[in-house]
Amino acid sequence: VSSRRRIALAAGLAALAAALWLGGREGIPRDEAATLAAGRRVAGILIEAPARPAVALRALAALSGETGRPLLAEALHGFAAEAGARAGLGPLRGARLGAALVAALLTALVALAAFDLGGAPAALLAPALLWLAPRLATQGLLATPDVLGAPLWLAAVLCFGRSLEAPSPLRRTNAGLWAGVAFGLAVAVRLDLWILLPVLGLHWLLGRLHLARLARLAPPTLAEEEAAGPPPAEDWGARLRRIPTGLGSAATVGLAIAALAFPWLWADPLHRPLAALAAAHGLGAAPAVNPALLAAAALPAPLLAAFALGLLHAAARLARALRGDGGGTARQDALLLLAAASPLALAAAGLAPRLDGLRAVWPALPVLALLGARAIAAVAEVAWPARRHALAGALGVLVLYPGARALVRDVPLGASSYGEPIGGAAGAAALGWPRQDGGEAAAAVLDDLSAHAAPGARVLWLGVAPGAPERYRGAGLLRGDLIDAASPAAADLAVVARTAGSRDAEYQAWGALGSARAVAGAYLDEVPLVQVFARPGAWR
Amino acid sequence: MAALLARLLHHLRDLLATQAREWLHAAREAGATAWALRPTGDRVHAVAAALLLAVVGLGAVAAQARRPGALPDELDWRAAGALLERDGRPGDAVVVAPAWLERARQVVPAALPVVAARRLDGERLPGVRRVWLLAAPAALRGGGEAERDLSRRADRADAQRLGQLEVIRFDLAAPALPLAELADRAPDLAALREAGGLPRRCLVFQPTPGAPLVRPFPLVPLGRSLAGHAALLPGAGDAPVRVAFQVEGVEVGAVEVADGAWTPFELDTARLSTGRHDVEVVVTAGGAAARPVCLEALALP
Repeated sequence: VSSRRRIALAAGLAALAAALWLGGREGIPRDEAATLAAGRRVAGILIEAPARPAVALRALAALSGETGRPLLAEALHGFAAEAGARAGLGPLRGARLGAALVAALLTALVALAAFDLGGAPAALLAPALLWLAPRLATQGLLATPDVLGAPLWLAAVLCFGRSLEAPSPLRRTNAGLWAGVAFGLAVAVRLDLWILLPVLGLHWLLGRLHLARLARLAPPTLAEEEAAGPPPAEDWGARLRRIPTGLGSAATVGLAIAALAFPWLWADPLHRPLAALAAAHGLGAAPAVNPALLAAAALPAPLLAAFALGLLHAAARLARALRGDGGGTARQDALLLLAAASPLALAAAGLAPRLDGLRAVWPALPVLALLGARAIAAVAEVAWPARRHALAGALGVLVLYPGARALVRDVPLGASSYGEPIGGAAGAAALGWPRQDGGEAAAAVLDDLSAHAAPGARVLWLGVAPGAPERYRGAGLLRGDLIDAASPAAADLAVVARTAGSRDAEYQAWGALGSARAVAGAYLDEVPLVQVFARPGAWR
Repeated sequence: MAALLARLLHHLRDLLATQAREWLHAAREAGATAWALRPTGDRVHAVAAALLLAVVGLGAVAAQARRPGALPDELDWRAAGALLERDGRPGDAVVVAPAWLERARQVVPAALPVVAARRLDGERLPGVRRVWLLAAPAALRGGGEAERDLSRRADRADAQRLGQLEVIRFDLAAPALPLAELADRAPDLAALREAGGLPRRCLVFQPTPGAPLVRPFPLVPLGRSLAGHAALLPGAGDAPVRVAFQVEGVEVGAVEVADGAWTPFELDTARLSTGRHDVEVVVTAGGAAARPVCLEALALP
C-alpha cells in the first residue's frame, strides 16, 4: 500500500471512529430528525419494492413530493440507521452510522486528493483543516444530506479534472463517465448541487477561450506540422472542438440519476423541476443570515486565513500558468477555484438553499481544505526548503490549534459556536444571529432533566425537533417516565431551545407554568441556548 | 624625537587608512553577495504568508484565552442572585444588559420580573418602582442603551461590581402605579403573550368579524387616564381590529390595531367623577377573518 493510500485509510478510519464515538451525544436538529424520519419510510418502501413495485413507486413519488427533494440521502441514512440499530450501536449512534461512514469517505477522499496536490504534508493537513472546527465537526456527525453532498461534489470535480488530464483516452473516458455519475448522485442528494453542471460548463468554456488564444498565437507551427502529415501532439483545433466526456456524462447520465431519485418529478417533467429548483434555491424566502457571511463569522479565524491563502495560492498558480505554458496546471487550478468559489458565490448572491448553519456552503469546504493544505505545504517549501516539513507542521499547529481548542470546549454545542473576530457566541447574540441550527442544544440539559424532574412529569419541548425526545429517551439520555406534553396547559416542565423567530409559545408556557424563572439551562459564552422552566413542585 | 614621533603617526595613519579600505571592500563584497543571494519574490511572499498565518493563529489563541475572563462566571452569577435575593423587594424589576443575558432568569429570585429589552424608553413598566440593571459590561460592546434609557427616568441609587457583572439600582422618578389593571380582573382572558418583542401580560380577545365582542369590567377605579397598548397576535386574517372603551355606557375612546406593533393609547378619564365605574371593552373587526388582539389596559391615577 502506498503512503498516499495509507494516509487516506488512516484518516478515514480515524474519522469513522471519532464520528461513532461523538455521535452518541450530539443533539438532534430539526433537519436531521426530518431526514431520519423520511429515511425510515424510504427504507421501508424500498424493502417492500420487489414484491409490489408499482405501489412502492407511488409511495416514493408521494414521499419525494412531500419532502420536496430527491430521496437518495434519506435512503442511505434510512438503511444505515437500520444497520446501525441491528449492529447494536443504539438509537442515536446507530441512526448516525450513515453520517459516520460519509465522514470517513469524505476524509479519505480529501486526503487522497490533497496528496495528489501537495504530497504527504498536504494529505495530513487537509482532513484536519476540514474537521478541526466546532461547526464542521458537529455537522459531520449528523445524518443530513449536506455532508453527503460534499464528497460527491468533490468526487465529481476530481473525476472531471482527471477526465481532462489522464494519460490515456480510455482513462479519460472512464473518469468522465464517473464524473457524470458522481454529479448525478450529488444532485440526487441535494437538488441545488445541479449548479456543478454549469460550473463544469464554464470551466470548459474558459478552457476553450484559452485554447483559442493559444491557437491564435501559434498558427505557423500548426500549419507546418499539419503539412508534414501525422497530427501534432498539441492539436489545438481538434482540442477546441472536443466536448469533455465528463460534461456530456453529467448532462445525460448525471441528470438521469438525479431524476431517478426524485420520482415526484416524473408526473410533470416540464413544470415540477422548475418549481423544485426554485424551492431548492430558496427563492421567495429570506435567509436569517447569509450563509457566506455566517461561514466567515462562524469558523475560527486561522482556518479562514488558511482557506483564503489556499484560494490566493490557486489564483496565483492559475495566473502564472496562463502566462506560461502550464496548460494542465491552469485547468486544474481553474477547476478547483470554480468548485470552491461557486457555492460561496451562490450563497453571497442569496441563491443558496435556505438551510440552517453552514449547510448551504458545505460543498465548498472540502475543496477549500484541499487548497488551504496545499498552500501551507507550498509556503513551507518555499519559505524554508531545508526545514519544510517542520515549518509546515508548525504552521499546521498554529492554524489548527484554535479550532481544536474551540472544538473541545464547545462540544456538544458546536453548532452554536462562532469565531473570534465576531466575539464568539456572545458577539453573534448581540447581532441577533441564530444561536443554534435546529434545537439540538436541548441535549445539553437532558442530564439535569433526568436528575431533577419529578417522577412522571410532562415535558413540553419548544424549538426541539419532533421525534428528537423519543430518540433521546431510547438512547438513555432522558428518563423513560418523562412524557411529552402537547400544550403548555398540559405541561409540568418546558424545555425551550432558543431558535430564531417568535418566542410567543415560550411566553405562553411561562404563563401556563406560572413561572418565568429558569431552573436549568445550557449556555455558550453566557448566551442561553436552552432553558428549562418548571411548574412549582415539578423540579426537585 | 619629534620627527620620529611624526613618522610614527604618519605610518599609523597609513595603516588605519589601508585597514579602512579593506573593511570597506569586504563590506561591499558581503553586500554584493547578500544581494545576489537575496530571497526571490516567491520566497518573500511565502515568508509573509507564513508570518501572517502565525500571527492570525496566535491572535486567535490570545482571543480565546481572553474571552472567559471577560464574561461572568458561576461565582459572579451566584453573587448577583444573592444580592437580589437580599435587597430585592415587591415593586422591583431586573433589566438585563445586553438583552441576551437571560442566564439571569436562572439566578434572579422568582418574585422579581426580568426584562430583556434592548431599549426601555417606550416601556411604561407598570407597577415597578425600582429597577435593578444587571449588566455584563464587557459584553455590551457600546450597546448600553438600556442604562441610558433608565438614567433618563431614574436616579442611579446604587452600583456594585460583582466580578464581570455590574448591578446598578435605579429608583424611578415617576413610577407608573396603576389604580387597576384590567388583566387582573379577567383571569379567564389574561395570558402572557409576545407583543412588541417582549412578554406582556394582557387580555386576549378573539374577535369575530361583524359581531362586536363586549366584555364588562364592573367597578373599576378610574383616575386621570385609561392607558395601555394593543397589538394583533399571530393568526389568520388581516382585518384591523378596533378596541373601544365605554364607561357607564359612554365611549371614552378607542384604539385601532392593524398589525403586530405594540400600539400605545391613552384615553382621558379625568372628566369622570373619581371612584369606581363600570367599564366595557368592545372589540370589533371587519373583513373575513380577524387575528386575536392582545390588550394591556391600565387605569392610571
